[in-house]
Amino acid sequence: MIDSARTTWDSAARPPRPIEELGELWRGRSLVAALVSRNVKVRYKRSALGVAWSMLSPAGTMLVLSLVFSHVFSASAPAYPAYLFPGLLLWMFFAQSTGSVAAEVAGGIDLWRRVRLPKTAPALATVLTGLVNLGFALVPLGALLLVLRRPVGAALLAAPVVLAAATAFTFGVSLLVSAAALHFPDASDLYGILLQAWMYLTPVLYPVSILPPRLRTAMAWNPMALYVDAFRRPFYENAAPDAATLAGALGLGLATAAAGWIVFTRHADEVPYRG
Amino acid sequence: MADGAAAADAIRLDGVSVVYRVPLDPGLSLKEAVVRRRTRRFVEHLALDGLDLAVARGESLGIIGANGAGKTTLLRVVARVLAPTSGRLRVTGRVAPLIDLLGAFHPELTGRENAYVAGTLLGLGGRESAARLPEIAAFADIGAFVDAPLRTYSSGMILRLAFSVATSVDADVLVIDEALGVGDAAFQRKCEARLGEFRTRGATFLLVSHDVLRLRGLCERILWLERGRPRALGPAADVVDRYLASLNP
Repeated sequence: MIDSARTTWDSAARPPRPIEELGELWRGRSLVAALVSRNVKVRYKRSALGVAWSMLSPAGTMLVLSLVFSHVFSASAPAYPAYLFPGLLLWMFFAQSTGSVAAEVAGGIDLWRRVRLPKTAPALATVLTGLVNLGFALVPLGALLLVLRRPVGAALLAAPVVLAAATAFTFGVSLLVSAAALHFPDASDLYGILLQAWMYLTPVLYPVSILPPRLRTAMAWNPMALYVDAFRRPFYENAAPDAATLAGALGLGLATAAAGWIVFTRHADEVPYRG
Repeated sequence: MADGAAAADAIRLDGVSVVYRVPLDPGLSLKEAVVRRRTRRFVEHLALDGLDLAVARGESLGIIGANGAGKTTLLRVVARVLAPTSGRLRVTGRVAPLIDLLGAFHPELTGRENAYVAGTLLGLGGRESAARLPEIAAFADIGAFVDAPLRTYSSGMILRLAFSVATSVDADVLVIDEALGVGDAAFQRKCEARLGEFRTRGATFLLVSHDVLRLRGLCERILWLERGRPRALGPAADVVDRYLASLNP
């Protein structure tokens, strides 16, 4: 994107597309930063509460869900709000990021036809925006743990590792959904429906212990069950996930990000051809 | 710099072709594709057909032709928005497309914030983009509105801001597609002066317009495209005369 003075760009010397995009994204890092700051600003610009809203909004969702479900799950998940909140935050980060990326990519296509920009930048900016919002929401989470007098300790050090893995996974899924949205106008709507089902198939609202053993084994095939559970554990049980779980979470996240990266970059260049 | 010829040229195309794959059923949904196992069918459209072109540093080249002749496609290839399907493109220096940046603007952000985002979109670094803000605001002449949300702007102010950002990039190659009619007469004169500065600094221009008489005044050479191939390429006056003659036989 940025051409340092007088270097010649040669179409015959292009590296393979997924590798070229790495360089493009690096040179476009200012754009990613500007987009993230724009997204954060725009979301709260009209609200008098400003950024405080990004703390109150998830806290409100957590309170409502706690009122509804505390009673139901009190036996299987004591101190239900402390069970619910960390997993809910991770799920909302995943669902909101992946759900809005496709719409954002579709909205940015007109610009792609006219300005050369790293095609992965809008998707990355959306995921990072979600991460910033999750960061704000850690304040009410901390307050909740204090109020409920939950013990927390060194196990919390595992949370950023899980979050990094979940971010890679979210970025990968975002790119895969975007690649589908490039070809099919209804892909983002269908994905929205899928997300609804996916949430109920993931132990966000309910503890996994209420499931019959057969369904519990099936959870092994749901990556979000892995991330939600691993992220919740340090906050709720004051225990870090074991090393194998962390390694699996990281491996799955990186593999998904790589798959999304390759599929998306190979299709993104076709966009301007569609007149 | 591969060879001597490329060093002198700002833009060089060797046998560049662009094939558009236009879907026959643009409404095909994912649901249909999965449920009915339908696959998408395409027609291929050759927008540029083995074009050879060399534009020297500091030269202004105008591109004319009927709708669908490949003018905009050629600009997009040079701006590297579109990769050639085959052939080779070499461009030396920073390319700036002089487009309206309205698609990059957000109504809730201030003029300053929008100009910053748009600057990074054009490839400026964060610090570089921030450093240009005072000059951009001065050129757009929007006064204290620079710190007001864009939704409070008049349409003329938005256009002036967009033009100011687009021309704030130190470009070696400027790619311009029908974007010269911005704002009132006074601002138009400022635009012309701004483009003149680029010319003095040795920038290369690639202009597309249907206003062929205007192009004749601005450009040294004109490329007349017809169905993706050059019909004529030469001194501006000659090519424009032949083009006009072909319109009124």
